[in-house]
Amino acid sequence: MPIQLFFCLLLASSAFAADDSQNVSFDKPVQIPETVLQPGKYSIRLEDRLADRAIVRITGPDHADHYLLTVPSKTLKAAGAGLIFFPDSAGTAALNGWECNGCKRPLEFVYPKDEAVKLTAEMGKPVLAYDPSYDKLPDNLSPADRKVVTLWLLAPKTVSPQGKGEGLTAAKYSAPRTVASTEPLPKTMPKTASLAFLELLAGFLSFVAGTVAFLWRKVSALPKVWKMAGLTMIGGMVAGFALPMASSYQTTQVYVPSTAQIAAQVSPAKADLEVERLKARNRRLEALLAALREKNAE
Amino acid sequence: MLSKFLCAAGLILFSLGSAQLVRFELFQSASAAAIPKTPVLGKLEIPRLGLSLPIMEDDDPKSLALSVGHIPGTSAIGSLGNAGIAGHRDTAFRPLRRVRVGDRIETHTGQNAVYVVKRIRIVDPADTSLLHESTSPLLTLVTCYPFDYVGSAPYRFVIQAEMTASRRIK
Repeated sequence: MPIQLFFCLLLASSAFAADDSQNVSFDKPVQIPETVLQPGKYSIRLEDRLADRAIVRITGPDHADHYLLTVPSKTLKAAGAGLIFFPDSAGTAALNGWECNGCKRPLEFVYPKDEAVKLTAEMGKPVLAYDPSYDKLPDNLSPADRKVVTLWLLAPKTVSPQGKGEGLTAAKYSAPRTVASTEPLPKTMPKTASLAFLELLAGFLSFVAGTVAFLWRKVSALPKVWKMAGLTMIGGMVAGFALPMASSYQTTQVYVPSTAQIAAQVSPAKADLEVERLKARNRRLEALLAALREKNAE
Repeated sequence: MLSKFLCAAGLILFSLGSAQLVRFELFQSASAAAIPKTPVLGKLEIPRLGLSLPIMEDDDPKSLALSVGHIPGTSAIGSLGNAGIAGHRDTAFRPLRRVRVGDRIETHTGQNAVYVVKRIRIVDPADTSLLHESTSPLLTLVTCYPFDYVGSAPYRFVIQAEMTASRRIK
């Protein structure tokens, strides 16, 4: 297992560098996913990472943190370490990616779907997007939980200029396969039966058998009269215990359904039929009784 | 002679069984500081069942005698794949017989993750399909079935939960 963990860490670290923070200064507003940053000095750092995605934190002059979802990109090109903006963005600059010092691949920012649609229309360039409704997130998540799920679980997909707006066609993002282990899967399910209770049972039975054997040997050595007396006593004790138990067993076997059980089993329609059947039986009995009375009177 | 042998064997077996249970209970009640050399990955919790167990690094008999263990070959716990955890049905995972679909499971490793039980299956030990790699983050708990069987049980009780949230521990 330590080898697997090392391998996982090696895989995760290969896409990212150790030097993962940078200070930047904006002289005009900059659009990032979910908000627009005002001009000022900001700190960008790699907050967290998995094999297929990274969480980037941007901290502003007011110490407000923005946690953003990014994925390592094969297509983004940076002139050097630093921020990558969408080309030809008029007015507000929109952040497309970030290449941290030593990053093997730039990190591409993932925008909410509505912002991605606007950006792709303006830039004429595919934009990575996430869409909570596409991933069927439950409605009862708090905004904080929704943010966590977005960062860690939502699948980014590409919004392209050809399919913007109505009837948007978004290709599902396919994450690189995460290799979690170098070991193959087990061929059978793990053995999860402990021997503790089997040992306890076997031990108890062996002990009882040993004790019985010991006592039997002792009893065998006794004179016949004592044996008979002992057997009579044991028989009496067994009968004393067994008879009350047997009688209580018999009484518990009588099944008396409760009213609730009857109500649960008998539907109103069935109950009506039963009442009719009983009434018909009553009428037959009354007719029979009347016939007998007449016969007696004669 | 036979009676003495049976009594002695019974006492030895009874002691062995008791020792296993005592060792399990002692390990569960021990603090992390008291078990510094034990390869523990993190903690597994099912709040509704009051279950809180250390997760061992492996699912070998030695690890499962103490607690539950990560199944080698499955994804890391709290990662984006299908992570498997095995445990004994008569000690660590005994409360799992009361588990229900919708129960919340939490794992606390390097990544705090919350899962919700989606499927409960009883499968043949040779059927490992529920441990296969998945496209969504899953947690698969495996134990023996039936729960009250004495000895090597013929089936496996498998609980599969889907991740709903995850947060890295600072």
